[in-house]
Amino acid sequence: MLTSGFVLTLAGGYLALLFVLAFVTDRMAARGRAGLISSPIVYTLSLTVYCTSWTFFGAVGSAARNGPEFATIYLGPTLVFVGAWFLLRKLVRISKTHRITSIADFISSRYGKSTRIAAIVALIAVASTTPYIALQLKAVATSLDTLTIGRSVLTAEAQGLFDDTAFWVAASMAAFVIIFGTRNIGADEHHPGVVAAIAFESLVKLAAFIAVGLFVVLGLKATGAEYAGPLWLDPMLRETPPFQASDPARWTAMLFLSAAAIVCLPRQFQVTIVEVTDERHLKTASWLFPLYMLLMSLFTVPIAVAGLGLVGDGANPDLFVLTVPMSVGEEWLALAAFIGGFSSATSMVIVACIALSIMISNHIVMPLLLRSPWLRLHEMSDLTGLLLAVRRLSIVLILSLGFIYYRVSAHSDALAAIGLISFVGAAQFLPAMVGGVYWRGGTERGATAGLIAGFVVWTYTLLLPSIVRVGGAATGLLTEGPFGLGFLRPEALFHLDRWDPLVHALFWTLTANVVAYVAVSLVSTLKPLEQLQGSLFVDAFRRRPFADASRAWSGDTAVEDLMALARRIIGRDHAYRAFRDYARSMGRDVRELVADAALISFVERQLAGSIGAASARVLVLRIAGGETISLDEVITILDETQQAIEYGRQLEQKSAELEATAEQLRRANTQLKQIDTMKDDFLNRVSHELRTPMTSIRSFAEVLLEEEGLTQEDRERFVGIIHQESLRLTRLLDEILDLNRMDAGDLDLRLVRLDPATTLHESVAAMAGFAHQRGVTLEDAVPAKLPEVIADADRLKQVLINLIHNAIKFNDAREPEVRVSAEVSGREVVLSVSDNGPGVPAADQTVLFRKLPRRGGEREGSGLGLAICRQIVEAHRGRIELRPGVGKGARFEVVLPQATTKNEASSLPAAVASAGS
Amino acid sequence: MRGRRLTEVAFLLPWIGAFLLTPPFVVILQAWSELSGLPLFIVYVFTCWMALIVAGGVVYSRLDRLDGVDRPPERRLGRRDSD
Repeated sequence: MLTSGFVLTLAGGYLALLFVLAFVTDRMAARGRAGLISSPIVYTLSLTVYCTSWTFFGAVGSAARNGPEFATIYLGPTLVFVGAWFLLRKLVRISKTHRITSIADFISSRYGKSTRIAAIVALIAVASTTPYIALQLKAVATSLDTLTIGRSVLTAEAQGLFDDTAFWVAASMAAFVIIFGTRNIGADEHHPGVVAAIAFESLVKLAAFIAVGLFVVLGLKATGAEYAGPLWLDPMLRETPPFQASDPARWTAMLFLSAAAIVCLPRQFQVTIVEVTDERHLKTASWLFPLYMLLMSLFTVPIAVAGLGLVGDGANPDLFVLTVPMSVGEEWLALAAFIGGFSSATSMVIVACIALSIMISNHIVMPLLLRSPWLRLHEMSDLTGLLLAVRRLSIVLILSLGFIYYRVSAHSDALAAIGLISFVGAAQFLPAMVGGVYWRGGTERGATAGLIAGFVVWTYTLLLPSIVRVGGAATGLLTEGPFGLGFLRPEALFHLDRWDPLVHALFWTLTANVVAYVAVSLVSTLKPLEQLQGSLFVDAFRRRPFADASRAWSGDTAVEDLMALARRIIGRDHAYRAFRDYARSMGRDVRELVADAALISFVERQLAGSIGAASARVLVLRIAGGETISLDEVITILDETQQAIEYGRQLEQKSAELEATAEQLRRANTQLKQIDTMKDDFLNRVSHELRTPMTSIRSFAEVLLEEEGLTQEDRERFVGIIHQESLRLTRLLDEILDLNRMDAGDLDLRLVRLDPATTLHESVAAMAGFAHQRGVTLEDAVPAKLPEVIADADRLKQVLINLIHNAIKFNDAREPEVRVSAEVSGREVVLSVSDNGPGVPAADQTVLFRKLPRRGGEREGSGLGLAICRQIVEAHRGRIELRPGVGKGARFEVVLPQATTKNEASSLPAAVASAGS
Repeated sequence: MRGRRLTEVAFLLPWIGAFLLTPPFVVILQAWSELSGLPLFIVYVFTCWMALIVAGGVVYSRLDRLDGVDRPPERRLGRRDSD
């Protein structure tokens, strides 16, 4: 049996080794030779602080109790890391850009640098980490007792405070953290010494666990009568829990929980996000860290099975890693296992204490001190000492809390249960964090509400029952509910009965959390700074780093003030170096620096690195006294609004365009319908027009065929009528063909420059005979000469003759008169034919020039003449109009444009073609 | 183009993993384990786990190489200086 003194000396020596390692690394880093430390391998190894003594000892315990579900604790992080390129890279990018120092700082930064939310996160973190630290102390103490006394007496019961091993463990850990975790207040929270120590410890625990595992797999033989192979493959043990199925609901819940924990646990956030020196390290960590976890759990099942076979069911399965080698007399192997567990515990406690002390000092203590009107801290010359003192006190406080929890809860035996309580507590950060980097709409109020709701439900459904069970008092609360209200039982809330308490709590806490976060975010409004930070976080990859942060201030600030402020927070040397480097990067001397927006924002970032964004802002605000929101911020917000407006405007325009198109289509459709009706009408009338001469031809032909006693004179008369009617038919068909041709654009115009007066005279002359025959006075009032127009002489004459013909034919006045005249109006020539006839009835005026035969077939002609006239005139780019004539007569006007330039003639045919189509 | 494919694969990996390591697959494999009397479930979990690690290793090392090619010239210059 190893003596207690020997083991304690060994543990002390191990801690001393860590001290030396951390010290040397810090020295090297200070001299700028931190090459090894900033390698991706060391980064990955430092992540393994996730594997605490809880997993070192507890995984085997979990396998022995609940079967394969121990693997979920590692599988969740594996999934997150295999997808590191997305969530984790974004978190790292954001944290580097905004100089994030802790998870509280991250959430506070995202929600408008709110001090309130940072304090809440810090409190939740402390509350959920305390049981976990207690767990580590307990693991170290019990493993030490097992190793030295051979049984796990509960030292807390048996001995006084100073005889309690855990007390000395806690004290030495506090010393280590205080020395290496708070040696300096850096511009960012990097602790190279600590990282090196953690990386070293990760190798120690892996080696120890694998050593025990290999021993179990290769060295332990079964001693049964019929089976003598490896113990862990003994068929007798095939029915033990490690080979059994586990509850699928609990399996899934734990997978989710561990995935959440790897980003939400304060210590994991510290090593994964804050301590990382290069974003590209994630690429290595994405597979190397899962590989480490795989190796770490490869032998869990064999050890658990061997433990159950060798040590027996009665023993504490959480200690199988120790008791299995001990039971076969391998004391040195057991010692190695103890060192492995001890190193898992120390690394966890160290990192958790650093992370929590940063949060407590930056987000709880300093804001309170800075705001206190009595202390007047902001006028103090040097705050570094105060800051360090606060941190050291916080570390003592955290370890004291953990120690007290350990003393109180020493009865509780399952390590894993306590660890899971902690995990669920940390998972409460998930909605605010992940929501914050993917959803712009999350507000500070929403996040606060979600965190508080989740935390309250967590306390009620998980923490309270665990305390009640440990204390042994008021157990009625669990079975009957508070005040006998059954639906409020902490582990069966709203009668969600017979669920595993962990799954139950996870469901209710996250439901309350997410619902509160989303609902309150939706009803509360975003403050400008929240909106800005929200868009910076969500669009982390779309912006150049640091380009966002230069802020314009209205206050006017001296460089000396800023320098003094920086000296007070980060120390004289650090401040000087930071300013010198900044000046160098701007290509200037320190003395030439101007307190412009960029410098102020630089100082704010430096301060944020040591006291958190919210406090840094408070301090810089005091000095710079500027506005809380800068020009750039306003511009960013405006940009976004502008984009939204622009998008809205485009949509509006699109819909307006669509509407216009629809309107056009509607109009086109109406027109088409009209044309269709007109066409039907036209066909109707034309067939009617054709019918009349056809009927008359047929009936006269019948008379000629059938009537025997017709005189020669009658026959000639009838044949004459048939001839005339067939002429009329031919004319009618010609006209229809003509009209159709013109419609199809086939009108062949021979355009020349001509004087329309000549054409008018000729037309009048041509119709003089007809007028005389009808007894109509035809007056030619056309001037001898008119401005030239571009026209086809024959076609123009056709139009004029048609008009004159109509005017003569339909004139039933007692002294019929037709007057042909012409005049110049502006750049147009107006040729008119007026009469004193009956005029055009109002009903006909609108359809006069349409392609419709006149109503009432008693008049001669097809009625298509005017339509043809219109087509011809329009092909000349002119127009034909009907105006009231003298008395009640009509007056037709043909308006033609004057020919201006010589080449106009050539441009017309194109116009004709388009007019015709 | 190749880079885009790679990032798409990298994005898919965790989801494939989650699909394989949650019910119904978990339930199916546990039932098989029980029926056969062999620890099939444990073997399945570790196989998936290892496959995820290997796939992650391949994808991320390729991404890294691609990143090296895409790196801005001044950085490459800097590396040559330090040689």
